[in-house]
Order: sequence, then structure tokens, then C-alpha cells
Amino acid sequence: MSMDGVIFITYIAVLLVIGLWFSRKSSESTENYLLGGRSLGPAVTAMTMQTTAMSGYMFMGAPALAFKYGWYALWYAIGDAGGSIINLSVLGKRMRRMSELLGALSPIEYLEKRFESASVRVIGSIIAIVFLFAYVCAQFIAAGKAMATLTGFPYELSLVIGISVIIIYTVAGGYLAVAYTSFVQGIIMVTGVVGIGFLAYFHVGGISGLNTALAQIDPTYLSIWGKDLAFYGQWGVVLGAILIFGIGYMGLPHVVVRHMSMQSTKTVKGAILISAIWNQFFIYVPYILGLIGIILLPNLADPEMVITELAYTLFPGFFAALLLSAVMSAVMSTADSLLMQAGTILSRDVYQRFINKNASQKTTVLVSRLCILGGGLVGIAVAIYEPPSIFGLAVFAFGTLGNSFLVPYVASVYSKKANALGCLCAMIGGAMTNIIWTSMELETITAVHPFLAGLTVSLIGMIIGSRFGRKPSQPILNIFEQSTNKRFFSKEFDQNIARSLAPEAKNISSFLSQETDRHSGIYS
Amino acid sequence: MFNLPAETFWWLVPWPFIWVGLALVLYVKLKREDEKENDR
Repeated sequence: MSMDGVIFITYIAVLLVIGLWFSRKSSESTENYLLGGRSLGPAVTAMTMQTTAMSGYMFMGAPALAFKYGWYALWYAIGDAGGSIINLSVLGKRMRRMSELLGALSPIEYLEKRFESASVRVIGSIIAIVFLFAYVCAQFIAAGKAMATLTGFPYELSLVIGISVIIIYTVAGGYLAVAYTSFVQGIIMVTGVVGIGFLAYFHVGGISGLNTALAQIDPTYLSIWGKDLAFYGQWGVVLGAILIFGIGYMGLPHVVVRHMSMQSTKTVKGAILISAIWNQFFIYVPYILGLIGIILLPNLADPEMVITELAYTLFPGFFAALLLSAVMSAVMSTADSLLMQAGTILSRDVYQRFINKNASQKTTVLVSRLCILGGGLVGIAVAIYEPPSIFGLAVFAFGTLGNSFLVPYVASVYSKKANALGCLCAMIGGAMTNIIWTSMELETITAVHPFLAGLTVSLIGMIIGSRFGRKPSQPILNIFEQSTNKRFFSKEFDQNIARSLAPEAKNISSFLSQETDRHSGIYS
Repeated sequence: MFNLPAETFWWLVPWPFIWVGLALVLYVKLKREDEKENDR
């Protein structure tokens, strides 16, 4: 068997082992299955947040953008490279505290409980499921294509094998499997990209050599305004390019859930540092490889294949296999999180909330697993059909999710006045603006990026809606205060209380759990 | 500087250093907050 095959099979085996390893622990409770029992430390939180955020787009869309526009594409990279720092420092501590105080296990359930409105959950679930599913399909297609290139198998067979692996470890191990496989995938991604970047760097004579060669082809490749100065003076487009990845992640349910699953608020500081360092090594390189592609692959027909072509034509062997495993890692780490989140919303926010309110923990975990399995199978069917514009739809889905949920999540922890009406206006206004702006191509007329337009409308919606709607109740205001404060009692007091009550609490908890299961058995 | 126009260099190149610097500042700030919280 070739080197490529051995590396890839080892990689797949590691993912499956992780999934099966966590399957027992995940089955213990709904919180364990959907949130990993809120037990993730800083390194895993940082890596799972970043690998979830960095999809197949980083290996296909990003280099293609640089290949097309030159250094202008780096505007997207600089926002992206700081995204995790902003995300964790703005939402991290407060959202971790508030989600636990509210007892929320999904990011949509969190919004309903914070804004005290079932409508928020209904609208939020619809937006999230539709756009997460579009995003999942795009990742599945990218996974099938990457695996077909790597193994030489037909696209359909590659798709079924690659996605089956994702489905098996996600269904079996739940959130913990998704988080820990992301950790492994994060290491593979950064190793692959840095390795190939290092080789390519010397191939073109460093950054200076690269720029000299680019200037000889067309000096505007070096401009911040894009090739042929396509975006000259359009600061609205540039600002949107920075913000979409700089702050957009705060609106993605599958990324936001990472705040809720942290071990404690103390996890935030380590996660910020680790993710910031990982970002600086990883994020710029795919764009630089796109620039290198302009010189080394001038006749390339499909710019999205820059990295694949560079790997196989210039650096065959070990590095090519490593890089293509990195591509698969990027795709799979995003696809599993999307699938997990879609399954969580269907089981927790639809089934348990509206269909079977008294579902036991065992039933909820089973329904979650079935939803993930069902979502995965439908995703495979759509991906085999391969809708033509699905990759563009993924970018559109990202922007729409960001515009729908960013303002509500940030307002939920920073504004006492933010209420249900404000949340609904922000979600609907943001989503609709992005949809209209993109479909009518208003960016070319207004020189304003769709994300910036959606963000502005969403923010205005939250401010105006919160002025007129029903005020948050006193219990919610109390929880809000608690989430902004640190500790109500001294450390010693907390420890003594916990120590004294631990045996009783454990007995009560196990008794209640047995009773709940017994009763659900009687009534079912 | 890397054969880039000055405008491109100054707009794009400093960002990795700014982000790592900001992450370090936030790490120290949050560490102090955590320590204070422990001492309360």
C-alpha cells in the first residue's frame, strides 16, 4: 500500500477509536452527550473551537480568493486570525456562567431561556437547522472530493466512506468525540499547512521573491485593493471582509456551544492564548499558498484546487499525503460539529421541547443519536446529487447564521435591557438582510459587504425591539447579575459546602435519576 | 519590506504580532482576575 493510503487509514482508525472510547461516558446523561459534561480544558476548547470554525473553505476557498485577487485576500485572514481572541474574550466567561445558571444544553435553548420566549426558540431553531444543514452538505461534498483525490476512489464511494466515519464517531461518542477528534485534527491541520508552506516558501525565494514574481505578472496583485484595483476605496467591503471572520464566529451555534462546554470560566485564558498562537501559524498559510499558485500554476483551471495541485505536482510523497489528510481534517472537524449541533437542536429544541417534554435522559440521548444519523444520511443523499452552487451556499450560510445570532448572543450577556422582541428583530432582520443583500448582489451597488449590512440591521433591530418589548423578568435579571460577577461566596465557603453536601447530593441525584427512568418506563 | 508597497505592508503585516500581543495581555489580565476570585 502507498504511503498516502497508510497515513490516511491510520488517521481514520484514530478517529474511530476516539469515538468509541467516549461512547460509554457520553451515554451516561444528556449533558454528557450534548455538552461533554462541561468538562473541556483550555487546549481542547481552543482546538475544537478553531478547527470547527476552519472548514474546507480554508483549503479551497481561501487560496482561490488569493489566487484571484492577490494580497487583498489577506484582509479575510487578519480578521480570522483574531477571531478566537475576540470570541473568547467577549462571550467566554459570561456565557459559560449564564448557560449553566439557565440550565441550557443547546445554544438555541440558551436563547429561549435568556429571552423567556418560545418564539425565539422556534425561529432560532428554523434558521439554525436550515443554514447548518446547507453548511453540512457543503462540507460533505468537500470531504468526498478531497478523499477521491487522496485515494483515487470514485467520488460517490469516497463520500460514503468519509461521511460514514464522521457519522459513526459522532453518533457513538457525541460531543466529547467531536471535541477530542477536533484536537487531533487541529494538530494535523497545522502540521500539514506549515510543512507545505515551508517547502513552498523556499521554492519561490521567500516572501520577497514571491512578491517580485507577482509584480512582474501584475503589480496590482500586491495592492490591498485587489487585482486591477477591483475594490479601490471600498472600505465598506474591506470592513465586512475583516468582520465576517473576526466577529462572525460569535453568531455560529456550533462554535458558540464551545463556551458552554468549558470546564470552568478559568479555561478561557488558556484557550485564548493557545488559539491565538495556533491561528497565527495556520490561517495565513493557505492564502500565501494561493499567491504562490499564481506563479507556479499559472494555467490552473480550478483555483479551488491550488493546494491539492501544489501538493501533488511539486511536493509528492509524504508531504502531499500529510497535506491532504489536513484537508480532510479541516472538512471533517467542521462537518462533525455541524452534524452534532443540528442533531442537538432537533432532539433538545424540537423533540424534548415540543414533542415529548418528559423524555428521560436515556430517550433524549437515543433521539439525539437518531437525529445525527438521520441528518447524516440525508446529507449524503444531497451530497451525491451534488448541487452546483453548494460551496457558494456555504459562505452564504455562514454569513446568514452570523447575522442572525451574533447580536442576540452578545446582547444576552452585556445588555440587561435586551428582551425577546429585540432578539426576534435582530435574528429575523439580520438573516433577511443578508439573504436580500446576497441574492440581489447589492454589494456591487452599495460597496457594502452583506455581512456588514446584516450586522447593522440586526443591531438596530435589537436596540429598537428592546425598547418596546416586555422587560426581562426579575429572575433573569438576577441571573444576568450573577453571570457578570465572579463569586458570591469565598472559596473556602464554597469548598466546605461542596464537601459537606457531596455525599447527600450524589445519593439524591442517583435516586432521582432511577425514579425518572422507572416512571418513564411505566408511562411509555 | 518584502518587496511589498508600503501601504500593503503597514496595513497587513503587523497583524499577527498585534493578535499575539493582545492574547498575551488578555491572558495576564484574566489570570489576575482568576487569582483575585480565588482569594475572595
